[in-house]
Amino acid sequence: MSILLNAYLRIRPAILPGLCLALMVLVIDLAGGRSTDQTLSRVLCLMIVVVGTYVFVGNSGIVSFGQVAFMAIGAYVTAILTMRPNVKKNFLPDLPDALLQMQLDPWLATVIALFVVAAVALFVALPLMRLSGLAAGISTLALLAVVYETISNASGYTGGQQTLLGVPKAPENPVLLLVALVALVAAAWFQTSRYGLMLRASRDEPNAAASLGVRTKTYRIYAFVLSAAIVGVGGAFYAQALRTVSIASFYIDMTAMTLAMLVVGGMRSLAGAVAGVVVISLALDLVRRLEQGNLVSGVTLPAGSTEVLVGMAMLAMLLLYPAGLTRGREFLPGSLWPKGRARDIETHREAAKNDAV
Amino acid sequence: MSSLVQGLVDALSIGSTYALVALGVALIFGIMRLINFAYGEYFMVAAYAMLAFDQVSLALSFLFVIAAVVAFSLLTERVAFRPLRNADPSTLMITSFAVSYLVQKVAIVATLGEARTVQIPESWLTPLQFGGISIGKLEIIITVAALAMMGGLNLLLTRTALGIQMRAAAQDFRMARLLGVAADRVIMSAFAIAGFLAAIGGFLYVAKLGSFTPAIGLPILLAGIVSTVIGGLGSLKGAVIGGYLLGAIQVLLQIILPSDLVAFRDALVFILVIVLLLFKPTGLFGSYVQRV
Repeated sequence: MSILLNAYLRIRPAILPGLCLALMVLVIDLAGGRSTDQTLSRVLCLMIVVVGTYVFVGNSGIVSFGQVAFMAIGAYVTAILTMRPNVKKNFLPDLPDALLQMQLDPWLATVIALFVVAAVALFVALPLMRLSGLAAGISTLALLAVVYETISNASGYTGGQQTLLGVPKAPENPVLLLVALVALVAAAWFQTSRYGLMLRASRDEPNAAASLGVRTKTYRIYAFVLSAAIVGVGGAFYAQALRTVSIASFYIDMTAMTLAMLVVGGMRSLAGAVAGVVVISLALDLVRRLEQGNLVSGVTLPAGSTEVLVGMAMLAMLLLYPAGLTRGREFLPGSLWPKGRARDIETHREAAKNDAV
Repeated sequence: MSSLVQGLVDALSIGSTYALVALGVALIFGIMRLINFAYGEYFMVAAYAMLAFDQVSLALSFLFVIAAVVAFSLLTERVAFRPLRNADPSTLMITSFAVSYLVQKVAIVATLGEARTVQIPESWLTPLQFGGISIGKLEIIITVAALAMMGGLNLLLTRTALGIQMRAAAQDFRMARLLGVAADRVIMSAFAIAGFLAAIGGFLYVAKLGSFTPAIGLPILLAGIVSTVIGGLGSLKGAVIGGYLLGAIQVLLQIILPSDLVAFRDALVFILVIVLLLFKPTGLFGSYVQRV
């Protein structure tokens, strides 16, 4: 019994956001047509990516601009492993023969992508996490640039700037939903683990945590690798959902979109990550329809409006509600808006404000 | 010999541009702990401001660019960064990212993302001859201008009351305020100076490129922040040296890399930087030690 209770407490932050998400996805999936179906699979992949990004950003307090790089690696590994050999010969002539001939099951490819991404992330995290939080954050932007430059120039291996076609189709939306829920549970499990709790302590009170023996840099590495692995899986499914892979879709625009989702929802809680994806996705879908001009007759927004909206949403949120819609609170069963925690945060912020003046 | 001198001049001129960007980033960081990701967009504003008086008058164009970029710099401070002055550095950083992204996307919507070209005087492009060695004139102009600006900034920071107040604020903002330094004045001065540096740097950079798109800011910004990280966050001297070092490494790799690897030059530079940080996590002259 205590094992069950323990498990319940460990995944508690994921339960209500997960249920809400499942409900929304199933309703839209049943009601929607073919085009909503595709939009929905993309949103579910983004959900996995954003939840993955949250695992590092939310727990460590370091803003990473580089997680999209792991999305790209996950997508490319999946594409290389699952495309048909004769297609690969055209797009990726320099691949070694064994890889050229290989055509794996998409699920197996996704699992391999997960491990490849985790290995790369560990390799990168070892030097990066030695930096102070801020320097680590900006260096992740350089990481994004490295991955982008490398993939777009290694044409023989990745197709360069071309779009790779012929990635096998993603699983149905309910299955993708299950994967997203697993990501949510993994994120909740980590943030309630001792490493997660110590990392969050170091985020809120770096000196106090360090003096109590919290090895901040080590736990940052754990969080970074787990985060990258989840994001990589998101990338793998993103490739399958679009059935194409192109490096242009894994750069600043994607980084801005995923960060905007985190910021709008509130980047310090899992509920915030989920809420951000839902709110921004709905808003973007609306604007995209207006852009195409078939929602309200006579109103057509100029192309590029979606990106402007993403930027405006992020900026407005930061200026008006820097803590996001959820204000850093979790959405926990039993205590819908846990007053105790909220008050703690408020007093903390008040104190910080007084300190700053 | 000729290619060696040309390489050296290239490294100096690229390094000068990077050093100017890094100085602007480091100056604002020093005073308000803001890593200004929107700094690349100051260069974009400079580029579009050049179109206003293109082929009319070089002097007028130059003055207009300075006015436009300084105004834009102060505007970003007033609208985006002042309300968040007491927020933590990562909130400020992500805000600057949002500003950068928004401004760039608005520029894309406004110009349809098309490239624009500027005309610069023919005489700037004719290379100078030194006993059989030809050196680009624009490269020399960029280097000299950058060195002059650094000298000027150094004088400003060490010899004027405003400069001393700025340095005091960079060291301990609260203490400086308690001693009567006006926070708004110091911060706005930092943004004005950073805007001025971006205006000059941007004018010369665009003159060298000849054409640009709204995406012009990103490579500049990346070079600037990598330079500041190499030199050490918070150190102005480190920013300048980091900028020249980055320029030198880039030109060196351009020369020594086999032709099929030149495309990976920038990726290699970034990897070198990460290796450097492995040995010296605070950068070469890191004075700013963040808690933990």
